Amino acid sequence: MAELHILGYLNQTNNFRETHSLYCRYSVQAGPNWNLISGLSEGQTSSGKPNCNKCVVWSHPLDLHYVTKGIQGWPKLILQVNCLDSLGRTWIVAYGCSSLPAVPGYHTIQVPCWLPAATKLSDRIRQYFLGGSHQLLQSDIVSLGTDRFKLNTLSQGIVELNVCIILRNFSQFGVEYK
Amino acid sequence: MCDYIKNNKSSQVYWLKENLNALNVKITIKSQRNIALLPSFEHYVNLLEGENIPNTINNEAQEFTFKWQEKVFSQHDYQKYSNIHNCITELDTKLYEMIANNDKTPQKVFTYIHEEFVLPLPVVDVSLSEGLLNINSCMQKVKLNDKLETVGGKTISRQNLFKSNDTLSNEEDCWVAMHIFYDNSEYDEEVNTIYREECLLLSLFYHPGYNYLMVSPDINILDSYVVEASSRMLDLEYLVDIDFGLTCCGDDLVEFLAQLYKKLEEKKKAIINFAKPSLGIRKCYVFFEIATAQHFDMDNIYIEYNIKIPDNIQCKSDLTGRTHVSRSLSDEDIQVWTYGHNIDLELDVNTGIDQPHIKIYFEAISQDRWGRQRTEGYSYLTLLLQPGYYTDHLSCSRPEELNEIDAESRRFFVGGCNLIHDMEVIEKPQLYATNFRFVSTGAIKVTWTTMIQSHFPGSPSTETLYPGVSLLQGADDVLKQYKRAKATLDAATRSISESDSD
Repeated sequence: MAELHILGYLNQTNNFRETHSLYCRYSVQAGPNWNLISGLSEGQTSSGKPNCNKCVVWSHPLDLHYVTKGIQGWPKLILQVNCLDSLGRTWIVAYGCSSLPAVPGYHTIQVPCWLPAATKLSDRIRQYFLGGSHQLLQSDIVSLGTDRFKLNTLSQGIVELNVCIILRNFSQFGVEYK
Repeated sequence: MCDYIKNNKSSQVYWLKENLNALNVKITIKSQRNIALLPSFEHYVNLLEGENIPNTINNEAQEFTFKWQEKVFSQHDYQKYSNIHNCITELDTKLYEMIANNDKTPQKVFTYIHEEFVLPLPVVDVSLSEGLLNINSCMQKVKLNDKLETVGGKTISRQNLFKSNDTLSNEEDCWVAMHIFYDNSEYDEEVNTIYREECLLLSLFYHPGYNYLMVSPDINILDSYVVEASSRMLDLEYLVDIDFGLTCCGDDLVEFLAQLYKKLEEKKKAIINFAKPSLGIRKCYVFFEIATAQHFDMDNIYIEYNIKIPDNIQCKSDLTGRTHVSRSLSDEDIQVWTYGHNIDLELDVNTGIDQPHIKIYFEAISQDRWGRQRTEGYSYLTLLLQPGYYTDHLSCSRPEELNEIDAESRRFFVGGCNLIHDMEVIEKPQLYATNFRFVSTGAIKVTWTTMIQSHFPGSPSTETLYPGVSLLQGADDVLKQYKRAKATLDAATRSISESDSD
């Protein structure tokens, strides 16, 4: 029985355009071979306002323990960054996805984020004055990337993630990872 | 009740499944191991020469078994209740009859049954339902305890002033108790009591209404409890074990546990079946990510990728694709395009291949507002299939005419870019006709993780298995390069010969 521990925290955002408060909904998706033993695969960070360096620090802890029957479907972290304005309205400002490293040790991962761009001029004007954004109806696009070429997107910032990866018993099943 | 902090004793509550008469309480009492009970000096002096010291270290455990409400007498009680003249109450007479009829003998570990009321019963705070018509709630309100408490502290004596007879009788009937004591008294030769001391070992309280048994201290068959006298700890320790008479349920329990164990084994087996590659093949998993792009001239850029895999490596995943179109983000005067595009590759590599690798070709393409596309740069990556986590910045370049003015004017007025059809030109430009030059344009950041799985753990490296394979492949590569060079030379000489003939 091979085990994977993911310990760390969702640290901060960098260079997001938004001036409102930002929070992040995250989920760790893994293939059918993977079973989550402890920890929560989904969660939400606190909301924070960007500082002068356009940086929002969350330091949201992650602690996941997986058991797996195969390597296929290695866990991926999927992010959805939302903003919260002063009127209490919230909308999505970025999507992001990153495969978690398969090498044990401490890693700093930078997840690049993007957002479907407004295609019409009226949408752009509405978003500029009233806020809001375009959202994906099929969230699989974020992690799979097969149908993504149809999208026109707007580059958003980077979400920084610090994790420690611990692998157990993988080498017993003939897996080389380092 | 027992003090956990002082004595490491805790109470426990058991719900009874069987009749209480089937209960068997076993007390095992023995000397503490760290106390060496050597003979006294006088006794040692009186020993004859050559006589062995008697083994006075008596660590033999003594077991005492009691049934529920079984009366066992101490030496003092036995002497007292043996004489009818000492018996005054009905209970005394009953005990006298028990001694007379059953021919009981006194023991060091003895019991007090419920009727003797040796120790107070547990107090359970049963909250009564409030209501104007409820007589109990009225009595509760009449209590002056709370008001008097503020003046002169807690007044327990006044608490029961207004209790009805019904309430008192209910409380008394609530619990049935039994206590087991150790007799530490001293007696003279005629069995008269010199000094009386009784040490509580175990208390049992049974609640008939809820059918549970409170055991204080709890059953303890590993670490023994110390026998505690009123002012000191004795050099004795004891163990408590209770048989609840569940022998009739034993078979069911064993069957249930066997089923559980079977299920656990099945689940464990299902988990342990780790997916493995077949013999002679190594599975290689590559989790590739096109992260960001930088420094390109135009905006709205997407990246097209083409993965080239050697013939001796099989792959079922899609080998071509492209990212979304991304509009740039300005970060400290640097334009950045974010993608986060994941490509998962599952490759089957034969075990005989030395240094297996794949090649990935990238083409950064920009798109203007009318949908016209222009290649901004080409790049490639030779990805060695070695386990690890890697990050790389791939610099991109595009072909341009040798004359810079021609190139710029064509790019400005006509647009477009010289396209490369054979991607190997990017990899080895020196092998092809060089009527153009390469101009650096931007960079693509990529990250990837590689994992390799063999059928057997710790498979030997390919070099030791097939040392000749690498040599043959090297020769093939040299031949290929020679053929290409020859074809280029032929093409060049053909153009010269054509011009000469003209």
